[in-house]
Order: sequence, then C-alpha cells, then structure tokens
Amino acid sequence: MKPRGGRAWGLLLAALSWTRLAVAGDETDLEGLLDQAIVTTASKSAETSSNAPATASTMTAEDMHRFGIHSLAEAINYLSLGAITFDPLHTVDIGARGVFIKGDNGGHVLLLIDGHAVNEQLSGSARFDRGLGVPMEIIDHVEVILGPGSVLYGSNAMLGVINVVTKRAKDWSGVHLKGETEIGKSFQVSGGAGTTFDLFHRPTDVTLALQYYKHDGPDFFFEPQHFGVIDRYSGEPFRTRRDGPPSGFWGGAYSHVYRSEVPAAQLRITHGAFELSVHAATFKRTAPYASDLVNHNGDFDDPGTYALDRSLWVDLRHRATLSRILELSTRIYGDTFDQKTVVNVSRKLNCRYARTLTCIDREGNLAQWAGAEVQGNLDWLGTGTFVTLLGADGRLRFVAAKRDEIDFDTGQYLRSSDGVIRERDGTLGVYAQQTWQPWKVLSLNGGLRYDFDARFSPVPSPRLAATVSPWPGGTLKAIYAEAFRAPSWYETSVGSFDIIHSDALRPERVRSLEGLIEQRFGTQRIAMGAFYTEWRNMVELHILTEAEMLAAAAQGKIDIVRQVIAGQYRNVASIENYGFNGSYEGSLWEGSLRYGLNLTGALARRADQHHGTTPLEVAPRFFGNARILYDFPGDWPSLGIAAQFKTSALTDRALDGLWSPMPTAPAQVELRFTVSGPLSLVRGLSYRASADYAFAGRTPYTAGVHQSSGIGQRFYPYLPEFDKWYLAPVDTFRVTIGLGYDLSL
Amino acid sequence: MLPGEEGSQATSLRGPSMTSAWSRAVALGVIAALLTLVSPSGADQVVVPLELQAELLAKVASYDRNMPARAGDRVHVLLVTKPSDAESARVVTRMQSALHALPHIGGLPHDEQTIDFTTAADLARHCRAKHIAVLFVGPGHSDDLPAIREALDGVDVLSVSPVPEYIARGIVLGFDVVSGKPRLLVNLGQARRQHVALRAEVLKLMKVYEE
Repeated sequence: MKPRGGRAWGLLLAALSWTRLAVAGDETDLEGLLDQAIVTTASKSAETSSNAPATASTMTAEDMHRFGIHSLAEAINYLSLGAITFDPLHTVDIGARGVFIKGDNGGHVLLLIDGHAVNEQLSGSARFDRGLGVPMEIIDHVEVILGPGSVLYGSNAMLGVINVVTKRAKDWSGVHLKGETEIGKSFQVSGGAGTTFDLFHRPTDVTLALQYYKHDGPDFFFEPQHFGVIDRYSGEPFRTRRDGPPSGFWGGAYSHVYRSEVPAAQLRITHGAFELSVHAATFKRTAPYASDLVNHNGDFDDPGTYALDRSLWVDLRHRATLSRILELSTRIYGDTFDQKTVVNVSRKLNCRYARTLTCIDREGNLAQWAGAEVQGNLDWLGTGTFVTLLGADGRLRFVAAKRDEIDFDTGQYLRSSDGVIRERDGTLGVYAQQTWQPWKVLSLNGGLRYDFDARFSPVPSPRLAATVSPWPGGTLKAIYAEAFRAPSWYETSVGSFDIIHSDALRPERVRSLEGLIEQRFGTQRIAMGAFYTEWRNMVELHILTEAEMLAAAAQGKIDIVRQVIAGQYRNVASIENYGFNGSYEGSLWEGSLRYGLNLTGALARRADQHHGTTPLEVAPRFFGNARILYDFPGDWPSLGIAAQFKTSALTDRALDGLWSPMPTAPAQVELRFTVSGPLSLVRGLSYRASADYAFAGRTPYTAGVHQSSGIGQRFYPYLPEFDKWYLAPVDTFRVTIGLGYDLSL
Repeated sequence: MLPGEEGSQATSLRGPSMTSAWSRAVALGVIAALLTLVSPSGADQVVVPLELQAELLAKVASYDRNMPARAGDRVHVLLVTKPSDAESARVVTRMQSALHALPHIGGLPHDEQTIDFTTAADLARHCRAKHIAVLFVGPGHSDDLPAIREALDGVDVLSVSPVPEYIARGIVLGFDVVSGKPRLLVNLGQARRQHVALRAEVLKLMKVYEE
C-alpha cells in the first residue's frame, strides 16, 4: 500500500506541473493582464482591482449571463467575494464579511448605478433584488467594494459600495429582445437598443433598456400557529381573515399572494464629455407571510396586502480637462422615491374600531433629493504618481412619511394620520484623496471626507491604504478605513402611537483594518485577506421596559391604555467582527474553461445593555460560492455550474424573541445549472435554461404570529404555544428558460 | 371608540414648496457644469489605466512579426499630442511616464519622444525619418483621424491609441474596457497597410475591425 505521504507529494507535484503549465509563455501573461478587473469605484478613478485601495471584485455581464443570473442579489450570492444576500420573500437583505443587519433593507451598503447613489433618503434603503429596476441585459459589470467606503461616498457605505455599471452602445449596439420564464412562477420580457452616431460633430452614444417582470407563486403552506389567548378587544379568538368566524389561528395554505411586478427603464446617453442617465421603475410586491418585519399584524393569505416602490432619477455629468494637470468633473442629479405599504388587519387588537371589521394600515413614504457634485483631479507631476482628488457633494432633501388607518369597507379614514414626518434639509460632503506612488512597487492612498448634517456633528471618514507589489504578480495591501451611516430621517423623526420620538441620535460608525495578499500566475489568481471591524452606535428600535413605558406615559408621550408595547429608536448596540476572505479564480484552454471559488469566514458579535454579548442574528460564520464554466466550441452551448453556501445562523428573532435556546436557521447550499448558447437556426437568436435547487427549505426569518417566546410575553400569561417558532420557507426548485434575439444594425 | 376616530383627516405627503430650494441646487450645479465648459477637452474618453495600457502594448509588440525589422535594436516610440487639447497633453505625458518605467517593449530596449501634432503628412514624415516603430496617438485627434490614416498608409509603424473609438477609424491598436476587463482592439486592414503583422495567437484575444 502506498504511504499517505507519497500520495500528498504526488498531488503537490501534479499541482506544481499544472501551475507551470498555467504560467508558461507570454501569451498566458497577456491573457493574465487581460483578465485583470478594472474598477473605478474604490478611488473614483480607473485602476486594476489589485491596485485599488480596498478588497474589490468584479462580476461581468458574461459570467452573469452564463451562470443564469437574474438579479443583482443572485449575482452577489453566486459570484461575489465577501457579500451575501438573504431573501425573506419580500425585499432581500444584504450583508458582508459576517455582518448582517436584519431588516435594514440594504441601508448599510451604498448602492450605485453608474456612480449614482440610489439609497433613498428617508430610511436609507436600497433594492438588490428585482426591485433594483435595472434590466440585467444592460448591465456591463458590477463592482463590489468591501469595507468602509464613506471616504468618497458619505453615508451608508459601511459594509461596502456596490456599483452597477451599464453598457455603452459600442458594446450593445443594435436591438435586443428577450423573454424568460421561471416555469409556473414568473416571466420577464425586456427590450433595448444601443446606437452611436455623431451629433453636432460630437460622438453620441445612446442605450435604452425596458423590462417588465411579473412573478406569482409558488404557494406555501404554514403550519397553523395558535394565538393562545382571546383577543381582549373583541372577547373572541383572534381573527386573521376577513371571511368566516375568528379562529384564533394563523396558518394554512398561502396561495396566490407571493407576487411581484417590476416595470423598469434605464437610459444612458453620452454626448462628447456629457453623460446623462435616467432611471424609472416601480416595484410592487406581496410577501407570503406576516412577521415582525413584514405585513405586521396582517391578515393571513390576504391578496390586498402589498408594498409599492416608485423611483425616478436623473443624473447629468460632465468631464473636462482644464489643463495638463487639472481634470474637473461635475454632476447634477435629482431623485424621487416613494413607497406605499398596505396591510389589511382584521385583529381587533390591532383594529380597534367598533364598526370596522378590517382596517387598512397604510403607510406612505416619500423622499426627494437633488444635488450637485464637483470633483477636481490634480495630477501634479503629470505622471499619475502624485494625484490629489478634491470634491464636494451638496444635496437638498425633502422627506415625508405618514401612517393611516382606513376602513376596508367604507374607505373612510379612521383617525388622523400618525407617524407624520415632513422635513427639509441640506447636507454637504467635502472630501480629499491623495495618491502617491513613490516607487513602481509601492502605492499609497490617503483620504478624508467630512459630512455635514444639521442633525449631528460633522462626521469624518478617513482611509489609509498601502499597496506593495514586491514580486511579479504579487500584491500586498493594508487598509484602514472608517465609515458611517447617518441615522435615517425615519429613525430621527418618527413619532407615533407605538414609537416615541427619538432623542438625539448619533451616526453609526465603523472602523476597519484589513490586510490582503494576492498572487497572479498567468490566468490564475489567488487572494487571501483578513479583517477586523468595530461598529458602534448602532441604531435599533428599542422596546421600552415597563419602567420606561410608565415614564413615557407620565410625560404624555404615549397612551398606556391603548398601547401595551412601544419602542424608540436609540443608539443601542455595538458589533465586533473579524475574519478572512479567500478567493481563487482562473481559466484554462484559452478561456474555454473558467472557474472560481470565494470563501468568507467571519465571526460577528453584537453587544448591548439588555442582551450582553451575543452572536449576530442571521449572519452565517462561513459563506461563499464556487463556479465552473465550460464553453464548448462553435455553436455548442456553454455549461455553467454554480453553487452558493452559507452555514447555520441565528434566526432574525433569536435575540429579541427571548427564546431559550436561541433558534437557528439551517445551513444552506444552493446549486444552479445553466446551459446557454446560440440557436443556429436563426442568426441572432439565443437561448438560456437554468435549474436551481436549494437543499434547505427554510430562511432565517421567523414567520407568523409566534414572534417571541411565551416566557417573553410581558402582558400575557406564559403561553407554551409561543415557545415554538416557524421559519419562512424557501422556494427550493426553480427552472428558468428563455430566448434572446440580438439584431445588429 | 378611540380619540380621533371621528372626523379624522389624512395628511398629505406632498411638501410645500421645494421648487425654490431645488431650483437653487440645480442652478448651482448648472453653474458648476458651465465652469467646466471653458475647455471642450475631455470628449475622447480613455478608459483603461495608462499603466496597464503600457504593459499591454509592451506585450503585444512582441507578437508583431515585423517589429524586430522595424525597430532594429531599439524601439523608438513617438507620442503625439493635440496642442489645443489639455486632455491630450495629460494622457500623453502619463503614457510616456508609464512606458519609460518598462524595461522592454516587444523584448527590446526603447526610448520615447513626444511631438505636437501639426499635420498628418508631417507626422508620417517624422515617423519615416526617425524610424519610429510605435506611434501613440493621444486623445483630441478625432477630426484628424482620416488624414492620419491616409498619411500612415504604407508607413511601417504600429499606431496605438488609448481612445477605443479611434481604432475603427484607422488606428491599428487600441484598448477598451468591456465587462470590467481590458480588451485589445485591432484594425486589421490598417495593420496590413502599416506592415503590422500580428500573430494568430494574439489576434484571438482581440476584437478585430476588418476595415
């Protein structure tokens, strides 16, 4: 029998031989150079990802197509390094490097579309799923910058910055049509065109993409959950449906209520040094369950409950070189975003009107902002080795919100609007960045941004980064960065019957220290990094203690007769987080075979006065993805296999649900097989088919009325029924087929 | 019945007059934009970092079968700027610096010189007279391209530009970014006219313009 050591040596020799094969020859060197990602987000100038002052990765349109990606969230899960999304079946949440803020709707990641920040200004949310409203066909690539990014972008860039870059007409010329269906569940039709022409002796480049996406299903079944007590306002069991007698149960078949609809348009026009981007989208969705985060107190399987986002923005930028050393870019922009949520509530406890069977709990939010950003690049030596970037971004904002209760049957308002916010303000961010390359092997990047917001003291966001290339293909990086998230207007200003107006909130802050080593061997690239981050002043809705409730009632802030539970947004928590990122990617056989592996291991611990130090909810300790793609020659198809995985994590309500032991969600592995290629029958016609299978059938999100344990019920007797928790389901098997037609003009 | 149940009214979300405030913001931006218009420079966009372009050029040059004969024992690189265009000067200076930092181009030692563009005929004469092996055409030459292309017809030189749009219009080699990765562009017709013979193994990595 061959000794184990011999086998290990054999494997090592095989690996070395393969590596030598991979690095052999100038041609492979050239392919390696051409395989480097170019990013513009990390320092607001084009640079290779190896030189960027951050952990940066790029997801290409080609990979997204060939791995059957249908949304930005899927791209992040299957292709990116260090970031992850969860789909609670309404609006996906995003986390990175082991930190995940449940229910923040993307508020800790800054999302850019062609450099335009789209996080809305009322609560800071952004959509990473279909609600992004950018047709996938027009996306050229996506840059994922991990770690604090406020140094150039201001608020929200705590976990990172994601920039969706759309195609220019030269790469998307002609007419493009596509139809795709997730069999039995959804369909999408999209069309677009790209063209270039001369206008007033200037090259002009126009791309336009339109899409309509509609999704319905599947149906889900929820095990019935009993309320355990009588609704004390009706004297009957709790009512969870408009029809029939009140049953005191939530659960059963949820049919025809898992829906979404996204019409969207994205336009980009480049004329000489000007660039105009216009975006319009709506995102209507219904979630197939109720929980603390969605459809709160809503009726079971109610088709009238939904949320609707509408967004429209315009961004006009201009770039000019004023002298040999000075380049100036300017942009003006305007955004409007509004959101309406409608939840039908038939529980008398939550709809306390004698003549009303069902209340419509309707929330309306509006955010409108406009601003101008001026940015100067001073290349002092004219060599690109000592460059100063100076910039200022001024913004005026208007935000509004309100909450109404309306009688379902009569349409009459049942009370005056509650939780009313109506605010106007201005913000200013000024920033500077200095890059210095004293030697070819060493690059230094230092930056500082100050953000001014009347609600709190100016916030500094520094970054220092050093990149060393001590040997061919090798890069070492060290980065220190800080970032912040301004408390949203919702958090600072909402005051309603169940939320007390906050006291002065401070911005959430994060600081991060990370190191990265990267090595290229021709077309192979391996990278490994370690990071440590500290988060403080995290804003959460704190549920008032009994003493706090009594004190608030004494001050007239709350009606304790009507309201048994109330909250207040406070700076309550801190997070400590550390871990590693690793990635390997490469190609062989002139790019016919491509593969990649991304892995993140991280530990995040949250601390506050009430819970002490605990693991962070929803955040898995290990997650990542792997992929392999083979392009068969000629008109034969491409075959892509991708997998994403995440280990077990605490559920979203594990801490504030007061369960003991704390509930956990299962580990998840999701596989996707994709076949794509041209259909040789008709020139320009192509197909794509993919099948996706998730091994675990549950998300980490608690669904139903059992949102906290019986032992946590403050105003009820101990209810053993409430010791059991239920998790929202996963749509475990999906098959998608589609046809595309590209007509070159 | 709770307070507010009767006679309740909904509050409108629409703001009072944001128009004036927004107008001020937009006006501010427009003024800033107008300030940048003092120079029309910047229409020709360079999307690949110049240091990477220099590395790519140095590699690709070694795949030109005629480069050794053209260059002899040293590659002379000429970088041409558009005198009226600040962007052109900026890019050419940076490219010169990036090339200077490289030990070899096409496996040979090299030197760089820059000139201001006068006419295409002068440029072609200069290339012939100084045995220029690589001609780098900076931004700002959009209007000059037809003349440059015609003048370089028959001149033994590898013309290169950082502006992707120039390749289809008569420059032999260029660089672009597609899907976040660099891509080589080649005008094969013009390459033949300028006696540039790139090997098949590099052509398969390029986007080819046949014109």
